[in-house]
Amino acid sequence: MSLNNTSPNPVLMGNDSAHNRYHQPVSLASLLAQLKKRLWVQAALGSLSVGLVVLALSTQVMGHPMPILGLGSVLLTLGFHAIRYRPLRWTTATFAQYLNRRIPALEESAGLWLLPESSLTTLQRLQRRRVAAIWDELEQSSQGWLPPVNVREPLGVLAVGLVLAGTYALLALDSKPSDGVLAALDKPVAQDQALASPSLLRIHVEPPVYTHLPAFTVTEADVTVPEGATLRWFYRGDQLSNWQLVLSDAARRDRRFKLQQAANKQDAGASMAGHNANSEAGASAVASVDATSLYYLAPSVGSGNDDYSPTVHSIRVTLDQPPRIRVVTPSNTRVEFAKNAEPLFDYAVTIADDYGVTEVEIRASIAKGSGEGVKFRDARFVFEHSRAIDEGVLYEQHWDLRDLGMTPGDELYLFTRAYDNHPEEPHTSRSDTVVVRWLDEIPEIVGEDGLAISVMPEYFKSQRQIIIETEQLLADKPNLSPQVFVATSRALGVDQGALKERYGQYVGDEFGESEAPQGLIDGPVTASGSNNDGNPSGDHDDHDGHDHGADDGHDHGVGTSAGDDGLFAKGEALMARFGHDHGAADIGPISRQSPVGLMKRALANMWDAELHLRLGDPQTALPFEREALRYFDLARKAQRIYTQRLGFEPPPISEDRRLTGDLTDVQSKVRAQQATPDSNTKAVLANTYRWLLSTPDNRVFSTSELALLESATAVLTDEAEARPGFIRAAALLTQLVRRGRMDFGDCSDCRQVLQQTLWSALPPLVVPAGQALRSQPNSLAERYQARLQQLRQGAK
Amino acid sequence: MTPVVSLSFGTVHWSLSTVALAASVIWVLGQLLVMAMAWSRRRHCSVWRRWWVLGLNTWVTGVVLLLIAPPQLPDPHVGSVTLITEGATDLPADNTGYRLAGVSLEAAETLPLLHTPGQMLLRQPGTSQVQLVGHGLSAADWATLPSDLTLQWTPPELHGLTDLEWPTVLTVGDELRVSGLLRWDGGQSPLNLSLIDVSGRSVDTQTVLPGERFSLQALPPVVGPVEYAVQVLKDDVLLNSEPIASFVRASEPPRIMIWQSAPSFDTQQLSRWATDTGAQLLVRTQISRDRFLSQRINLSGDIAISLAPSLLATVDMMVLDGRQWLALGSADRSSLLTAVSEGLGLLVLMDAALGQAMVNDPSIGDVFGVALSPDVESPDAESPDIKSPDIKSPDNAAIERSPLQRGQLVTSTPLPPVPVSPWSMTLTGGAQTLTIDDRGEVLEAWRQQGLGRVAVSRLRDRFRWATSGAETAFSRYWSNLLATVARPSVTARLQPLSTPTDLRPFERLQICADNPKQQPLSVNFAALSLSSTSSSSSVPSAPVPLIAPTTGGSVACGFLWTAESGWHALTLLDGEGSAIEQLNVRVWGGDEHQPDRFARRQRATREAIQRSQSISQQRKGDEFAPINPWWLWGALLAGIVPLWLERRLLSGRQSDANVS
Repeated sequence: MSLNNTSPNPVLMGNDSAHNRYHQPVSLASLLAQLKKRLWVQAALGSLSVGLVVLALSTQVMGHPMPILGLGSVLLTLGFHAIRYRPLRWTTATFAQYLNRRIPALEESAGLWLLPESSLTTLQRLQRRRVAAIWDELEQSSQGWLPPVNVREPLGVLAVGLVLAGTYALLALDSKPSDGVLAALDKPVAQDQALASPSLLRIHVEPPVYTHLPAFTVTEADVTVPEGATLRWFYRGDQLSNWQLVLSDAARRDRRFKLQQAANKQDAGASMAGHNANSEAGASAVASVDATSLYYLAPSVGSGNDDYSPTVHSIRVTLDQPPRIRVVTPSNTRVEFAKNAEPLFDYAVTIADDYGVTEVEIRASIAKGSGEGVKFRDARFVFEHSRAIDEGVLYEQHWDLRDLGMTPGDELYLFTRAYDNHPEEPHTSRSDTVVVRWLDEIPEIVGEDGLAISVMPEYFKSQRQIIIETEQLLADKPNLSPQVFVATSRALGVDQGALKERYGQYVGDEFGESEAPQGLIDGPVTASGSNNDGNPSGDHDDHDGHDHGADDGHDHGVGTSAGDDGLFAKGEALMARFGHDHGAADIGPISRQSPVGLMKRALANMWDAELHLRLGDPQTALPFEREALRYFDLARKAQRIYTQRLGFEPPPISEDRRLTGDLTDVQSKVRAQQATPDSNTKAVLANTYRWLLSTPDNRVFSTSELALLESATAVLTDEAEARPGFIRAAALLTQLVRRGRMDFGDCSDCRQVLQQTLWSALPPLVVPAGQALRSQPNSLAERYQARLQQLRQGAK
Repeated sequence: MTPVVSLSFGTVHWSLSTVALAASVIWVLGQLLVMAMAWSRRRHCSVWRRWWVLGLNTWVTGVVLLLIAPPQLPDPHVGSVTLITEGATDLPADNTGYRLAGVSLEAAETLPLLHTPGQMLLRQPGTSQVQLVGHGLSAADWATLPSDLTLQWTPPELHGLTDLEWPTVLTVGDELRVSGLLRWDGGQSPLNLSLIDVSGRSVDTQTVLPGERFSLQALPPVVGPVEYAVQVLKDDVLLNSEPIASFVRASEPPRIMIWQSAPSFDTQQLSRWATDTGAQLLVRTQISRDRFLSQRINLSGDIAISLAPSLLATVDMMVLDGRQWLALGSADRSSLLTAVSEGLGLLVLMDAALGQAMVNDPSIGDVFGVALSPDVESPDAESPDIKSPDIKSPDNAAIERSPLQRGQLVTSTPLPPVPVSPWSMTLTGGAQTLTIDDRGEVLEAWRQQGLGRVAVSRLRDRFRWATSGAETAFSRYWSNLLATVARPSVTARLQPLSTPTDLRPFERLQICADNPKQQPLSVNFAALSLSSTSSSSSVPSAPVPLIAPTTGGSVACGFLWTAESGWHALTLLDGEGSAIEQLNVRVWGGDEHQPDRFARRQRATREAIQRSQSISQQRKGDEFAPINPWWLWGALLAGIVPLWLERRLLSGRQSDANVS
């Protein structure tokens, strides 16, 4: 729309304003009014379109419509269009000129309608009449002079505005997470902290009183504290009352502590010397911890901030350890005094504890007597001296066994027990037991390692050699003369006797002063040099008069250690002790017998063997020799304890069905089962490790992944009790679970830390059963091998 | 073409072949005729003009002759060419030569860059001698150069781990054994090598001298990609560290069938271990004459335990005790051995009955490839010796250890002692050792029969490993036995890569897979990125088909390339595009395993020098190089244009004359 806004010619038109008031032609004015109306409409359309665009854009940008901005833009644009189209500047004179330009048919005569008809000259009147038809046509139709409403421009502005608004909306949409992704999750994706979380000022730690440790303050969120310490967290921020501290320990117990606003600033700093409480007043939470835990800040339920994703921190708790006791003297746990030695010794221990020891005592047991008559007496003692050393405290005690009422043959067992200063449940520990033995004159058979005879193999070899030579003698008998045979047999008897004497010294036998006690086991020796039938069990035939004492039992071993005065006094006593049938089935194959007793049995058989060898009857002696060897072997194994079988008495076997071969009641069975492997919570660590290697950053977790992480968190938290280093990994996993995606925030090495911790926590690999993965030989290789085989066989 | 005429004029040299000579003659003769015609045609022109045209024709004739036989001038660069390779620390005195891509020496940046060594001869064809600076060229680079070049090279010192080898793919339970050579040129004192796991813990150590080989072992505790590092330390100071990456694949649970003549603890513990990890077990226990207890574990359906071929075809390994083996009839035994020939693994546990039978009738041992004799060292059959068996796999290469003190081994310790049957076993008939004791006596042996294997074992009371807390030993023993004797898997799987340190971007990588069923296979190779924000962490490439060799066989191979370093996912696909197996492989960046790469280059260069020296006639090199042909063409144009103008002028004059 182009309008020619040229100023009117004042000579031709005169003063428009005065003339218009009194002599304005009605038709010209009405036409002008139409034009002005059209101009205002055009301006209004343009302004409205701009206003709508501005309104739409402001809604997109600000998030809500802004009518003021729209109205302002409309007015502004209207003013612009008013200047542009100048509807106010149109006058009848200018309009007449406009008509002259727009409608050439008027022949530049539109100004004639500005003057009254009566004032027109004849020529003017004629001209007016000439163009009257055209003028009338103007009144009828606005075509040609009234500009049409231009809707293209407003529509164009609207279109541009719509494009701009749509573009902005799309750009804004891309930067936000998809609503569809959010809707698919069971848990909402954690938003970045649009919520301003409180900031940690410090943590004040007060260890338990009994530890005598000073209170301290840290500013790091991850803290190491002693067991039972009380922690006070101080936070600063807005709306602190809407927050709570959540403490989670290995037992998966969540304790929640609401942040308490400080009553005044003085209260906030009352317990912290040196801190400027005036500028750091906020809120705090107090809790005591006994186990390694995790904690984080969470908004209170119902505060409308359920999407908050906290940072999880760890509290490593150093547990109170029991006292550590180390025996300094004696260096060996077994102390022996000879019969005539001075039974004096020193006992010293060092004790160290985390925080202190309250009580130390010596527990002693004194054993008097031997065998069945041994009696024990317990006593408690206190260390005489103690002094502090670098390692802890050294406690010393000097012992004189005679002061304890001990005599040679007695034993003293003592250990140290210490209690620490834990107020509720003092930890206790005990030292190794020291065994003090005051020996009598018979040296102890039992060596340091508990074996009966440390030199046994040497005797065994000799006994075996005697057996071998006896067998050889019997084999050579047809080739030997009777004199040589008997001489050789007697020589073997001498060897057997020598062996018996050497062994007998250790069990208290005395030799050389009397003949070997005969009939120890069997009856009197016959002229053939053998007694009865050589039955080794015939040693029990003389047992009829044996008196089973109440405390005699069937054990002749333990009680026969050094100290039994009447052990070898009489042959009958020997018979009573050793000539006894111990073959009762209900007490097992071997009853409680010490190596000494078994060796004495061996000795008894050696007596018989020697006897028959000396009598020139090696055939009879041979079973005794073998029996002696067998008892030697048993003596070596005598440290084992056999107890009576109890509980199960099988039903007596019915002889009717035994050995009939009837399988009627015995049927084949089929059983199907499913393996139920032990639940191994640590296997989740391997799965978590693998998952960590393959999960990229910012990946949203699925439900199964969240379950895996929670399981791994539980395992690591449990392990943190023994290995506090795991707690950080547990904190990281908890953080991931709460955030719902792989996001470690600003921590650049958290993934690596987690990876390393999971690896170190992996249990030793138990190789599973698997199929073989070797390559199968292919047909070409098979043919090649077969051909080679043929060639080989052909070559042979 | 072979030159037949060689001419020299001063420093200019010509070589003409037969064709060139003939063309020259024809051209000269033709031009003489043309010149005569041109002279006669201009008889109406001035003398100077005639001589002018004659001169132009002579000029053009000469230039064309030179184009036919280009003159060659002496090449000032012939003789020695200096090639700067990676590892160069300074330039030669004349500061000339070429540099290969990858050279980081700042002073060499002004030298011309070669992307491949072969470009050197294109630029200087007359090169006969090459002076190398740096660690030299790889074997592939030497293949682009002729072998008759005279080479000069002084290798720089190497410090680090070279010739590194380790399995890139393991099966769970396999040891990761890293071997290599420690190069520390100029050093004499021993250095400590340590194999570090992900958590920074040293799992194996060894002290070696520079120039010695080393071997370190670890037992990865997890399935999936694993990364270790080999560190070189001296007095606790870290001198060098190289990453070691491998992938531990899970194993498929097998199906085992056990026939025993009486319940045993061995079977009980074997069942527990195998089925806890998903294996399927069929156990038949004889409880009386013709009475059996049949157990199915982890198996559904009513499966009758028998020696039916259809059932044996589904079993991976069958375990029999000696009495059951002896009790088999000839038909059953034949059926069983037929199944072994078709792939079944058979393990017979020797007991007193079988042992005595094999002693009395040695032919019984033929199927096992062993012969028994009474063990003279333990004649008492009731109290057999307790042996300490060692698992010995014939596939493991023996690595010589350093004579210096070695750190504690993580694995490879002998198994705890268990009783053995009191017979001495000797190998006959193609049997191989499976387990030996600490004195080297054979305790278990196996023999290949068709596609399957038969094994016999003297060990007794294996359950003691499980009940005494040596579960690891128990599991390793049985897994090794299954791996050796059981039926091999027919599932296609990827083979480990041969040289792990060769995995680099833009280098061709050969991937092979075992393909027992000879089905169509292809592989995907995609880089893994943990920093991707998309749900899919890998961008798969187009599948690359694996091709079997034309001679047949069950191995198919293909070639891959990658442009990135880091972990990659290698996926084996069947003919329908479904994934059969996925492994992870590590592609090394430029800074990783540099000493190894340099050592291989040095080795290839030494070999190239040896080849060059073994050639009787070395390349002499061309001392001449042809001139730039553009000069000749320009000269030709300078002669042809005036000739053409002259021809036009002549034609115009003639037509004017005709008109007048």
